Amino acid sequence: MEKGNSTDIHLVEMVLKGNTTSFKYIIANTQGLVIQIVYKMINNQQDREDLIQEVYLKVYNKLSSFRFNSKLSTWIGRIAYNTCINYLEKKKIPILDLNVDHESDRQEVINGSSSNGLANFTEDEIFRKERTLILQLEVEKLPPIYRTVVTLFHMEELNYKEISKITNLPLGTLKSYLFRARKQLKENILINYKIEDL
Amino acid sequence: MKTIHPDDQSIQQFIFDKDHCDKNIARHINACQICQKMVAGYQELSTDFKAQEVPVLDFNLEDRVLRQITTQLEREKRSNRYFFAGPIVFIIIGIVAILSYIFIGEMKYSFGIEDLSIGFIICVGLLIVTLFSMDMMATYKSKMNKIDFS
Ligand SMILES: [Zn+2]
Repeated sequence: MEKGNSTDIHLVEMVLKGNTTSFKYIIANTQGLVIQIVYKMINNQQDREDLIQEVYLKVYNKLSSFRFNSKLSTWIGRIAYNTCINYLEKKKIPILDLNVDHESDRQEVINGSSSNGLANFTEDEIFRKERTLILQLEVEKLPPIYRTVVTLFHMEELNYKEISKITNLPLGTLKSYLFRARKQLKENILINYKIEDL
Repeated sequence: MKTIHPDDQSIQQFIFDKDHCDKNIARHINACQICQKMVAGYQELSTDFKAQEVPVLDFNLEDRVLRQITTQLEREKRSNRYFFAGPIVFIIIGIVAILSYIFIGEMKYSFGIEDLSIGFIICVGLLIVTLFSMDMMATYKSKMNKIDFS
């Protein structure tokens, strides 16, 4: 089992002694992960910002219950994930519904990309930039949980165990979600190219 | 004979979960051009993910959270002060009541003071002692907090 490292232990001890500056370091070290989770789970910008702050207030208030059974960042990631799940459930937003279509969004991003100064890039750069934009768009089409696990694996480069701890998904389920998400992304990107080739 | 290629799941397992990929499947994929194309497609997807922009906030998260924590701590301090004030007042009233009961006859006899005046003296004394105790408690707590946060 992965355990908290010495920096985590030191920072947590300092915060529990009342040193709030140490909590700033904890935020600085973990906000990348928390922002990714919240941004992938939640669509509304104002709610994202509120939830990120709520996550850190929860972390501060629950810190004395952290037992160093995992890395501090994993524990905080889990609080972020659960906070988002609670929010989505309260708003009755589906979290696992894979067959959603956002044709208008797709058009919006493609149109947006053409006015994005792409003319200044070489052909390769345009191709790479377009591919990145299309992928971003296709990721946004996925349901929140798929979006999140695929981002944690490929962008944050977390391993299966860490993602499983954050999301509380069994390893088998997690791998199956990742498999379906990648397959869907690959297929949708291919469809995009075929549409554009016409 | 028709070649059977591994399915999509096995291809993904070969790239992203190598430890759990069957050796025969891995051998096939390494030797098969069609499967290699599938592998390249997924590897490209993975590379494109790493090129994605990382979301950033347009405000200082640390400062904002710390401000909220400070507000929360101050609110807790205030409620703690009132939490102690109740029992203190209650104890003081009890002590004064007992003392009054014991010494009221004595005071009447020694100083010739009326019942009403005795009640007035007791109330004023009670008020002074209560305010003094609350002030002492507040000073004590603020000193403790200063030690904690330095
Ligand atoms: Zn093959």
